[in-house]
Amino acid sequence: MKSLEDLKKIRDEYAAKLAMREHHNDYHIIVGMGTCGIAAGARKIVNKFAEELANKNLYNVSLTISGCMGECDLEPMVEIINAQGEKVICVKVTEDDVTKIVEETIIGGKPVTCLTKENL
Amino acid sequence: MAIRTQIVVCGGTGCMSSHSKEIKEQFDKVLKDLDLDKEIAVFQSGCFGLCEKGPVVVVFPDETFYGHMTVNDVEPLCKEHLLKGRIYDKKVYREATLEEKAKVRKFREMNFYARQERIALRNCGIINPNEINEYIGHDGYLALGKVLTEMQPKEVIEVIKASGLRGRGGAGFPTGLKWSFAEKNPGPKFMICNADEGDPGAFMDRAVLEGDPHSVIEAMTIAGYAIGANQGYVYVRAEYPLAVERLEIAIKQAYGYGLLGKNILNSGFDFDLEVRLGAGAFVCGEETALMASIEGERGMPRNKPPFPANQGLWKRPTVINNVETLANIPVIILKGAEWFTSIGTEKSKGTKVFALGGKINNTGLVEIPMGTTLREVIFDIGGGIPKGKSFKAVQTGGPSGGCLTTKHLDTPIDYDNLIAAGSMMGSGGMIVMDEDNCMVDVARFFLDFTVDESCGKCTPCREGTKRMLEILDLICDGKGTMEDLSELETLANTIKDSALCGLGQTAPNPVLSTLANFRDEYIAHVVDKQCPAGVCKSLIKYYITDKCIGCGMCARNCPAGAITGKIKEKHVVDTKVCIKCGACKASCKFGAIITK
Repeated sequence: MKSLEDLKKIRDEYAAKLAMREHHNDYHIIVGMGTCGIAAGARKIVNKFAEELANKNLYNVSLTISGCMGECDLEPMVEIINAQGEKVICVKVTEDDVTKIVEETIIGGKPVTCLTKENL
Repeated sequence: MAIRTQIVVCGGTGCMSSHSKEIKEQFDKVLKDLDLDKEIAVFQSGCFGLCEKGPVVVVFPDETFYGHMTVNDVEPLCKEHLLKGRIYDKKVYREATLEEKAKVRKFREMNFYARQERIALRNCGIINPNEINEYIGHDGYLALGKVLTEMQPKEVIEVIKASGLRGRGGAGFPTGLKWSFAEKNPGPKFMICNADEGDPGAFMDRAVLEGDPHSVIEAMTIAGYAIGANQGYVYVRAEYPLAVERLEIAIKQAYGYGLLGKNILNSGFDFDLEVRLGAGAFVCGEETALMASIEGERGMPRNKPPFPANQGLWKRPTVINNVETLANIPVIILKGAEWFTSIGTEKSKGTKVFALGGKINNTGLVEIPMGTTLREVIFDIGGGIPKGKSFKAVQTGGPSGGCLTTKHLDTPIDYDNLIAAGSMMGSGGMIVMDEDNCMVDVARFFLDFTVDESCGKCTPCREGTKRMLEILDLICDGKGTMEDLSELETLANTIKDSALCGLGQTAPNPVLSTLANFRDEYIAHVVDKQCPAGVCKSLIKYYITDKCIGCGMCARNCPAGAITGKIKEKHVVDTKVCIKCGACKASCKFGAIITK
């Protein structure tokens, strides 16, 4: 390594990897992974989220999984909480929905426009 | 597939000794079996600080803290937490009080961590110490880059001076001032890191070296640039094999990246760093003895002046800084002196790491802003005294420090307040004692340590501390007199004034402070021939009270056959035969055996 720029390049690359260990509150995405969720394909959804977030370098989001969310016939369910603590619970989430949520809401800052229990 | 979860297994010496390495390997295996290895990463970090709960495992980004993990817990944890999103209840950390217990807290919000301010320990437990890129990812080596490309050596020293940083090894000498003394002298000069941590109970330097070795390397290079030294040594004791191993890996990686060696970051500045192992003599933590040891001589201190900044290693100007002091340097350079001075008290800036030990619930490492009170450290962060016993004293500063009592609990901790209270900061050991500790015995323990570790060069320390220990032995045996107490005080004050180095000058502190704060306990030993805490064996006798139901358990457990009595009748101890081992008391289920 011969310059400060080289150093900063490594810093940027690894800061991204380390971001998961920071305390961040911009968005919190929770994917329901009860048996019902898993059966409905929730693991694919959570991995799709992880992939989308990593590909688009979004490190202000905490992605976790939870147990059964209680409406087993509507799985896979995803809860999205923004920095203000406002919650939306998306139901019957598909992999395309994941891309849409990441692009429109996480990047675009618009409200989530997925299927919910109310507009089903 | 992208990584969705990272699992950190604590790799500090404490957790490693309770099999955290096997736990990490088990995680690797189970994740592979469950087909999770492509979406979940596992690695080993440095010390998390809450050693009481070790081995520790933290799951990110959930920040869930699992304590007392075993190899057998790994599979159920993976299945519950990682596959099904449920907290593995058996080992998750919960606070002690009922109302706080209900909700599992994120690890940074736990009582133990929430009140801490981590500067020196900023990366410990968060990064993989064997991976230089992770250190760089947390702005590592950027301070070095800034110093080499934007700042003159004098400017660097000015920043450190303005920050008010004082040596964290014990004496609290202003770091910037030390650097400026050496900077004025002609080269060649040397930069030394003092990692010869010897205080019983203190392990913050070890934790930094094990958890964040690059911060020390970076700081030493910055210091080398500031004072004009091209060669550095880390003097670390061979008793810290893991710290040595990780430090050597880190040095190798830094050389590989060109962050050590010739022409660092194209600035024209060269800096080489070597590790020197000490054999673990306590006196080698004293700077002149340390340098003698590096030179290959017997580790013995010499007179000061000349101070190391003028005549140090191989009679060349040398700066010696403690590990924790150095760990603060890169952050100060990056965030500025003003930020650092905003933390702490008027004369003691920044934070201090303390190693909590003894009779306390949360044994471990805490880093707190200067000015925090002892009460907050012991009761709020440390979780108080176990088993509902009452607090009696806290010993700060190791064998050089003193015992502070309940009346000092609300003293804000900084260098000057601790000295005013009759103790000292030392390297930051904090040993808490409860009602079951005999203060004469505690003083004897620490003095025994300094007698062992005295190098023997000067008479006050070699002979004086030995005589003091003999008097304490007499007192603990019930053979002491009131004259012995005044003799003890005279000796202590003479040694304090006349010993050659810091070891001897501070060795009487535990005795003097216990004499000042717990004189009644000494008098009980000398006059009443009693040990109020029931510790000193010669002064206690075992009795069986009327609570005895005659089960015979004590008699069966007594190795000396000193207990007699019929079944279902009260037993008696023959105090002439009793060897005072305490086996009877430990075996009695009815609390019928007492010491008097």
